[in-house]
Amino acid sequence: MRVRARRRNAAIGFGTWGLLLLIGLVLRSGLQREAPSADSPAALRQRVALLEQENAALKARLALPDKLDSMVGGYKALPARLRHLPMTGLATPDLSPPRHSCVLDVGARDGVRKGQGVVATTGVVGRVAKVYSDHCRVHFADDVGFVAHFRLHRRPGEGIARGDAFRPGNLRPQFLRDRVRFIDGDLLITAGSDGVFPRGIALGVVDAVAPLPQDTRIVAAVDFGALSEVAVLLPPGPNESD
Amino acid sequence: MKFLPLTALMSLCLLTDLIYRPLWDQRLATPDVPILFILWLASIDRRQRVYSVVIVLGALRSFCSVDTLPMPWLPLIVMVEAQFIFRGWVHLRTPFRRLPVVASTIAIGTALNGYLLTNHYGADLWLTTATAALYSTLAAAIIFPILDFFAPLLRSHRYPM
Repeated sequence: MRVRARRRNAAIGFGTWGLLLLIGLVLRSGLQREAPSADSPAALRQRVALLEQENAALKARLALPDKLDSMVGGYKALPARLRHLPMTGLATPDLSPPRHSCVLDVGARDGVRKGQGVVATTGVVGRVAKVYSDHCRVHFADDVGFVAHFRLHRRPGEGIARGDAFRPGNLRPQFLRDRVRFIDGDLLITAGSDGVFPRGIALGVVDAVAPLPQDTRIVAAVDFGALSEVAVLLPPGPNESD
Repeated sequence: MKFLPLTALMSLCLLTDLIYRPLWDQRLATPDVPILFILWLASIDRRQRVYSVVIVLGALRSFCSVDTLPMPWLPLIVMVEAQFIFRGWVHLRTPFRRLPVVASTIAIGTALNGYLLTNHYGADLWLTTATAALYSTLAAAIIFPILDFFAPLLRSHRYPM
């Protein structure tokens, strides 16, 4: 009897949890769709759409170094792609909730080292945090571990920006040189003096100016949720001999 | 040790966390489902088994995160110990009594985690701590009754719970 009660309880538990997961999946996808059969027109259209998407991603990857050439100066742009969880299409997440990172498909064997910068065509993505032989983990620019030297675009003012631990997608100015006065809409670009990023790559835009400059909110230039193709910046010095 | 039910529950918690996190996405204020599971276990089980689960979660977070020492471990251990201390004062089998206890434990863990990450106390940290405690309590109110169904599965001669 006791064993039967245990089994019944476990079945109720797993069932309820399954329902909880299902609700989460439905909330995430927005709407539930009926899966089309493999040879139906809908399935073929879906397959064509997926192949076109893959094709566009490959083209973007091939064009990335050319697009970035004007941005990265003497640095070598190593094309990379975000790794995704199998069957979900989601970028590999960070298992620690307060952190924000992703996994790239390039590693130590490609010349990637800890601390190197990662950029996309729209701006700074982040910095390499952990390196393995065939992949690496990058903290995004809004992660609290990210730090970069910035300057204001077309106005005097520079400082250090750090990812905001409390607001996703935001950075926060930390150490400011002289008295910097931010204005809403100010563009922050990389200063190019830290040896990680070349000068002039978009870092973020001032979103809400606070009385204390350190409390000013900066929205990251890159939409981290929509990223797929990026480039790791290999500094010119040590990698030229490779 | 009942490894199979513990592994299954931890996997379910990690999966739930991955599915629901983008819906919340408030970083430190996001309810952390695996930690809620550990706190539930810490409210009913023995220290050895709770720490075996803590070690698994800490190791996972060390490898699949940009977190470095002591980030994945210290807040986790402090929260578990706080839960054991609270457990000595309050009878946690009562469903409504354990929620304020969880809120307090989560508040301690979030404040410590936030301090370790940002190195300063400020209004932001206290606001985030309060939000985390509130959201985690709401999440615990949903998850704990489901976890209660699994309690008999974890019962053994060595760990009568």
